[in-house]
Amino acid sequence: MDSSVHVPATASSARPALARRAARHRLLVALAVVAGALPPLVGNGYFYDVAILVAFNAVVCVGLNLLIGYAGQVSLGHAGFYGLGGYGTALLASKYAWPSLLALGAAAAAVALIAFVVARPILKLRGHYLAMATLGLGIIVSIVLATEDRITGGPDGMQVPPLAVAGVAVSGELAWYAIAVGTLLAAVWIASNLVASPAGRALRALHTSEVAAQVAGIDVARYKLLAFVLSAALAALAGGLAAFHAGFVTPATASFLRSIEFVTMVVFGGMASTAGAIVGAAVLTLLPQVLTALRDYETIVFGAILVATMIFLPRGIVPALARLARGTRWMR
Amino acid sequence: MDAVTCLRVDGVTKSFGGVTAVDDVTFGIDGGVVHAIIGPNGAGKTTLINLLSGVYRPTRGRIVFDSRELTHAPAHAFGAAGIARTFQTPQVFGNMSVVENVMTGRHRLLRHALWPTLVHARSLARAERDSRAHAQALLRLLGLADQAEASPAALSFGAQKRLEIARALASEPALLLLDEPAAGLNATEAREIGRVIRHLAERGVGVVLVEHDMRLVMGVSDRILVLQDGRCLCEGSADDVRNDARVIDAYLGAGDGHA
Ligand SMILES: Nc1ncnc2c1ncn2[C@@H]1O[C@H](COP(=O)(O)OP(=O)(O)OP(=O)(O)O)[C@@H](O)[C@H]1O
Ligand SMILES: [Mg+2]
Repeated sequence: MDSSVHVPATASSARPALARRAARHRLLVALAVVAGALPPLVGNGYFYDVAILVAFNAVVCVGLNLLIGYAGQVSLGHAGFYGLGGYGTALLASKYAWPSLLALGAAAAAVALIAFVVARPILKLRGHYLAMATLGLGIIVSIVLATEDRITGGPDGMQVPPLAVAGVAVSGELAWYAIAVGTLLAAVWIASNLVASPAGRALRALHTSEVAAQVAGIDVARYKLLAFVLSAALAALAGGLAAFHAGFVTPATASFLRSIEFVTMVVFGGMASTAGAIVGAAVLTLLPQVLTALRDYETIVFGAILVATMIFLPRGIVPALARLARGTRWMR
Repeated sequence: MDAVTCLRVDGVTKSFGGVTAVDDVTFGIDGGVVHAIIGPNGAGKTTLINLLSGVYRPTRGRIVFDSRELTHAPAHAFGAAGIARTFQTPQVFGNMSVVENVMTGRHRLLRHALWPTLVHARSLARAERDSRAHAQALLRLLGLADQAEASPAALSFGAQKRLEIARALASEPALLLLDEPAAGLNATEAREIGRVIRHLAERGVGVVLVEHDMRLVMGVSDRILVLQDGRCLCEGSADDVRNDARVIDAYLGAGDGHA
């Protein structure tokens, strides 16, 4: 087949190949540049606190976007996985005194396993039913975390020992900033790779037409499962790191409201856009910080943003801007 | 690719509640043969295609492909086994470019191991480049090369139907099921589709052609099955069916009268 492709066609398909690779890395580079440039410019303690929070939320959203934005499967329960990641890490690191990174990895793996087990029945559901089932799952997790007080400390939560890497305790804002940004970069790299692969196309295909995807040989259940488990693992990882960073975990980390926040970030930033997921996480993490007067009405504000985005910018802010910038050209 | 029977359909029936859309149909399709299925509206043609592609499970009967029992297999197993299809109403993937639509059709021939996917391994990158080149060649075959990077939503109905054919061909199928590929196309485009169908048959692909355009059917088909009310009215070589009194009465007669 290749040998029959005549010269002009080969030449014209070589350039987009390079352009595509550049596109896959552009976000990664842009993110690294921004993250590197910010500390010298605005590097006060408050900046680091917020930036670390943004990065953790963005890790969750980059994963959740694979599920919601690309595969089109809505989850209203991902804070459950975030909370389980936090508590799992806290338990292993404190009660069992596991090394930090081992506790973190084991907790994320355990949450991935839980997601794998519950996914089978849940992902058979569609639309509202799937949303309801994931909602229920998240609520169950937060109730268990709040009531099993012998293990979890109940509503008061539990302490988490400081993160130690190779026996050295991580301290200082810059170190934490580097860890948070590094984790986000890794998540973006993995998500971009997935999106640009046959698996990524399978996710987008089943989003538009499950039947057309199936007759192309795509096992839709398998790919929904992949997106679900991967997004759960990333949420758990972010939850575990956030627990180390905060020094404690509470059931609120797994609350329904957190799940709604994550979904709002993904939808606002732009579904099926990894850059959008990060922008959504950044804007909606910053908003309550900047507008402190709104803090009491946070839930209402998030709800209003979600509704307004769905009505006025159904593609989300980043794809809408990109479309504007590129005129009529098609883009992801 | 040899002229062995590649698909056997044995007494297949599909009922929806009280309606029997396909009723005890038996036939076989060989590689390299163009097998038309004709019949009036509501005869059960699309339902039969849905059965042959695993979208519907038969109420009774068996479907065997390349001596593999597929009767109870899920739809993706039909696709993975080398049965590709198009839809009467195009179902293109609106959230990716035209060329990516075609690459998606190649899914069964691509690697999807998790680790190479997540780290974008070199082998995967190479396979992706090949798959894109292959998709672009198919777009040229179907006259869509200029729209490769466009959104399929920007394509005309006829172009979307051709895109579906390109997507189906990307899997290098042994059997291709086409549900009214010429509907909505002009005469030139329909002839072009006929040329593509013959080209595929010469390369050993079995083609099932559901079509109302009798000129196209008579021009490309080796065998014809006539469906009426879900039943097989008759089945045979194109010449036999053309001269069958029952067919002329039930279907062709009316069509010729209008023409
Ligand atoms: N999912 C379904 N549920 C109930 N009845 C159905 C379903 N699919 C098809 N039918 C019925 O089965 C019969 C055959 O329909 P089918 O679509 O297979 O006909 P067709 O030969 O493809 O017609 P056309 O030429 O109009 O495309 C019709 O009476 C139709 O109403
Ligand atoms: Mg039909």
